[in-house]
Amino acid sequence: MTAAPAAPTRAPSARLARISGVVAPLTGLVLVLVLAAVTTPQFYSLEVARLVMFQIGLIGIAALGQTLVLLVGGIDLSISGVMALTSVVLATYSAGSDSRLLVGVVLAVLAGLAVGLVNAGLVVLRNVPPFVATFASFVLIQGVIIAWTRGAPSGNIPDALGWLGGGRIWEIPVPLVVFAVLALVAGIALGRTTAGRRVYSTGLNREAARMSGIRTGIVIASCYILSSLAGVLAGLINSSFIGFVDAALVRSLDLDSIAAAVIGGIALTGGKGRISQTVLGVVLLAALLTWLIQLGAGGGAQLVVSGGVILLAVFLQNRGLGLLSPRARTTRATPRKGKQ
Amino acid sequence: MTATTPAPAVAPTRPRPNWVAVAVRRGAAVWVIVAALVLVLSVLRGGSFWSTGNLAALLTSAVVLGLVSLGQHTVILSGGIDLSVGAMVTITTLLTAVLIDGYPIRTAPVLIGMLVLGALIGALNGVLITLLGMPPFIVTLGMLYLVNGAALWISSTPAGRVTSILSEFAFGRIGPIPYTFLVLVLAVVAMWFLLNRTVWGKQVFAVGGDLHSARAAGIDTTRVLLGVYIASGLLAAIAGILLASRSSVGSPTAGAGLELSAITVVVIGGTSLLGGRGTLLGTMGGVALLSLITNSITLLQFPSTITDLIRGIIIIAAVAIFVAKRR
Repeated sequence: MTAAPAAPTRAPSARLARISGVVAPLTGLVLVLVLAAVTTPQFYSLEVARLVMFQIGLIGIAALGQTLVLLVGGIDLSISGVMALTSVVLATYSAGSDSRLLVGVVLAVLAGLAVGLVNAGLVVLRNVPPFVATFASFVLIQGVIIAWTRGAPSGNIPDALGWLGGGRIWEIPVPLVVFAVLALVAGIALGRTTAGRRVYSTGLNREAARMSGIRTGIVIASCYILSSLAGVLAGLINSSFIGFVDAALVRSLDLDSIAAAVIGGIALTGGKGRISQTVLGVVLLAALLTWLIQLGAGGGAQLVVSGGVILLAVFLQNRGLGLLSPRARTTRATPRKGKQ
Repeated sequence: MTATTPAPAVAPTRPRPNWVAVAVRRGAAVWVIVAALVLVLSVLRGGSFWSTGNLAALLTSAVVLGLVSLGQHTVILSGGIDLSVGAMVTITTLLTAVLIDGYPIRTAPVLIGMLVLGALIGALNGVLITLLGMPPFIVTLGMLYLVNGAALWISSTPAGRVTSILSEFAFGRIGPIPYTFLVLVLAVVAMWFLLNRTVWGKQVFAVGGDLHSARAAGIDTTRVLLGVYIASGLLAAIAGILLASRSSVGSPTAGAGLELSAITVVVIGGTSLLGGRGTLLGTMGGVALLSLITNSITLLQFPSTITDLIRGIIIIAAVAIFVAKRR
């Protein structure tokens, strides 16, 4: 109903929105690269480049899942929980021996599926706000891990999996290759297939999508399940890179994946944004985080920056960089409730 | 859509009053569960449960969660959510211990500083949400990571030391009632008064029920919401100070997970996550229930590593059962 009066001005403002959506992250990326060149010259070395590429792969895979969930108007705060669960399941079952690797991976995938189903069930069947539902399952996963490992998760990851996290194909880290392939598949699926259209229309207006015959419940549920599976893959990559179960498990990939998607321009309200934007956001965030590490920043400073980046990106999205302020102002009254 | 929601909500309750639903909404249902749990514990572990030491420990454990939930309750009533309360508790706990560092003369200024800090973070949340129109959950989520990161930046290991005045206050008690519990009681009474006996309280309910109607009716919604988030920040700061006094050092993970416990408690108490409906009685019942459950794990001598698992199961069950279905 708000679309009708906006229709005549759609074309130019949509193009403007698209340009300003790309300009902001690109400016950020250039800024980071220049600042990195000035402050930490060693940033432009092969080693650091490999680190950036690894980060892009790891954050990117989680961000792809997060993007799917954001597109249907949700949010997934359980991704790093799934990652931790994956490494614990794999280490506990295989106990570091290569012969039990396959079954371990299958079990990890099943665990991830279970988490995805719980998230989907809470959101779709019980109408729980997504951030509460997925945060709750994150806490449950943590509880399961602590109870199961008696508070001290430990163990080794089979060496045979090492190539996934540490391997390279022509100097390019395997995680980046995996991410590139998945991003291509996701981009084509979202942009060119019926399934992709269903995701967008469900995210834009669930009621309208339901009326036009889309089974929105199944669409939303599959996005949560795919997001959990992305978490399993990210968990496999991370744990095979480290080689053992990280007892701290503090790596906040939830935050990074949300930050990457949102800086890229994926709307928190759902239905808006393309995979290419997520990819741009991932590259920017990976460069930023690697630069911070080069500067000697610890985990705390990285959290501060990622949190600040999310706030800034959402702020810019609401404002449209000032270019769209008249339209932004009229729509500003509505997102305030921001529950779903 | 907003105009049609009240109609079906009223219609089904009129002809057939559903007593369970009414009890849940009024916050009485959770007290029934609390009473049942107390009964079970009395039968199984009567002696140790009713001992003065255990009662004091039980009441003490309710204080931090209670204060935080009080703020969360108010925010949720206003139609928002505050995911940053745990992080605010963390940073105030850590800073109280680090800044005082054992010097008695610093106690008063640091405590005042912490209250100001809590109010400031709350105000920042409020400004981003009201003046810039950003969704509450993403603002407070960003703030959660930001503040947690700042806490880790200050110190990644437990640090600092509080003065003996603070720890004496934290461990002092009259019979089985700790002084800190009296702080909670005072805060609950104050919040009850604010919500139920002042114009501001009525406005909080109105804003939570329907923001646009409230604004159309002439309520300064920005001022009301700012007040709500500042109150939440203040209460989290008080909780942080008490937590620091009790543990005598500041930990950079002190408040981890408190935000979700607080949301659970509010939801179990029958408050709608959509805003505008809920009772303090129910929320305090939720606090009693969660504290009792933690206490019973100790009393029944279960391994302490399953505490988090049980908390997780309760949280999932609570959001699955109690969250009101929309439409």
